[in-house]
Amino acid sequence: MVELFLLPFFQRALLVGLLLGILLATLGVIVVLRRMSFFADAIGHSALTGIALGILLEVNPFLAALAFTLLVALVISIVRERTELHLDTLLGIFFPTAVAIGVILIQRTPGYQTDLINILFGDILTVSTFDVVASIILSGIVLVSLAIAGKRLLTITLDPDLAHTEGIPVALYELILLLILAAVIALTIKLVGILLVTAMMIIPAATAQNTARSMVAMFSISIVVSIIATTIGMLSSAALNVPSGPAIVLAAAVLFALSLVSRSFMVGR
Amino acid sequence: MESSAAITVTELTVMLEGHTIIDNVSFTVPAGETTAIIGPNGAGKSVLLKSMLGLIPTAHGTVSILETENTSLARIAPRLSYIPQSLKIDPAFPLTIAGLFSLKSPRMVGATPAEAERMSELLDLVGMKGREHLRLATLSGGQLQRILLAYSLVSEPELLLLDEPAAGVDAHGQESLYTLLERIQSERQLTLLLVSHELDIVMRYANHVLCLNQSLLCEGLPSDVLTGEMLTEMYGHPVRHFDHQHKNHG
Repeated sequence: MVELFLLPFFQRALLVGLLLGILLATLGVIVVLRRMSFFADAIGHSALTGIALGILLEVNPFLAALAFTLLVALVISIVRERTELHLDTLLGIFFPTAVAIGVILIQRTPGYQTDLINILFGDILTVSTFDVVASIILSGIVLVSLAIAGKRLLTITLDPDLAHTEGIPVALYELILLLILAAVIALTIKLVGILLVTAMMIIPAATAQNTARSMVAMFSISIVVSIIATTIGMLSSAALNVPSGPAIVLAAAVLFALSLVSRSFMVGR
Repeated sequence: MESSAAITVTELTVMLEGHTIIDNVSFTVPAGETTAIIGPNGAGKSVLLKSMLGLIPTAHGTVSILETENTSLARIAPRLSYIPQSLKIDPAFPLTIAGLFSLKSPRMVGATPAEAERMSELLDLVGMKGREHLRLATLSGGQLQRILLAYSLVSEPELLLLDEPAAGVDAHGQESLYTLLERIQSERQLTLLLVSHELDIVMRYANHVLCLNQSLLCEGLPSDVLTGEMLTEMYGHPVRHFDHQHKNHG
């Protein structure tokens, strides 16, 4: 087991996994508090269509995914402003439509169907040095942005009207959050797959919400859960020869289950 | 003594989904006094307050707050504070009282020692000192309103706007909340604009009243304008209230 840490491919994978884990766990706290989990899922799955479009149009599939998810985030934001429909209802329309288009496009792309499993689950053990650098840059930019805008986003989450009267441009911050979400999801799918992106955004934050008694604690617990799940998931993936993405998701799910038990003890006291 | 206006509303009309909710109202809110917007349920009181703050779009008219158009409120944000009606805190939102106050701090995490000291003073003012670590979701309606009142004073505003500040608070809590508001208003020479449907509270604590039922029915000193005829016209049936001594700074 120890020799795994000496292998360059494992070192790269662990570094990327931890970096993206911290990034997604931090963003996840805001997503969970703002009840945007379904939105994150919808954006993740619409990236599938972006990838398929990229292949058909012969452009880089992951840049196409980035462009497509940003477009979907903008369209959802605009339609939400102009209708009385709840966000969940809108997502219930956008989500299956985007997935349906994506699946049809992939089905019509000769020879690419076999890669569908990689798009869904990713393969973090195959990341390159370029991916490591890209992950460091992406995590740096987004984490600094969240550190600067975090308190304002929390004020908006508490009450948008209160935030508006404090001089916070609510609509602008909400749009920036949607675009950050779309960009992070599209860019991390290549490394860890659609399933892991949304899971690592939601499960650590939900685990933290079960146990945290302050905002600082919620952010801290979410990050720690993500680090533990990523490390355990990747080690067990190598040791048991199972796919790394699902192994990380299952490790996070076990920690969530433990948090539920711990919460019932805390409430019972 | 004639006081200057903290807020001037001119020919304001608000329409929601094709219905006129506020119909061509004009009034002023005197600086340094307590003004109450009263009216029956559905009269448009909260809509009026929110449209004045730019939270609801207006169909016609202008609103000037502290000599600034309400479309540019961000420029004067620290000079005014708004307390919304019955803030709904998600039970799973782990924001503590200290965490709430730290949201106004420029620090990325927590607050500076000076800001923590200021929070402590304000919590003392509203009778909540030493409870900084309580989560907002665990507070009673009255406690939450006191915390929001303390929070609203962080930037030392000149103008405080409150939408039904005692909604969801028991009778004793209402009384002590309004007594606290009166003390703060008087000590800090604040301009207070509050929406209320509690006629007795208005008679006791406000020294300027705006009677609203879609349009503005009366404006002035409560004891002068809240006559039996006016109340009947406003509420659609005879209304009684206890005749309390009202404030009169004018």
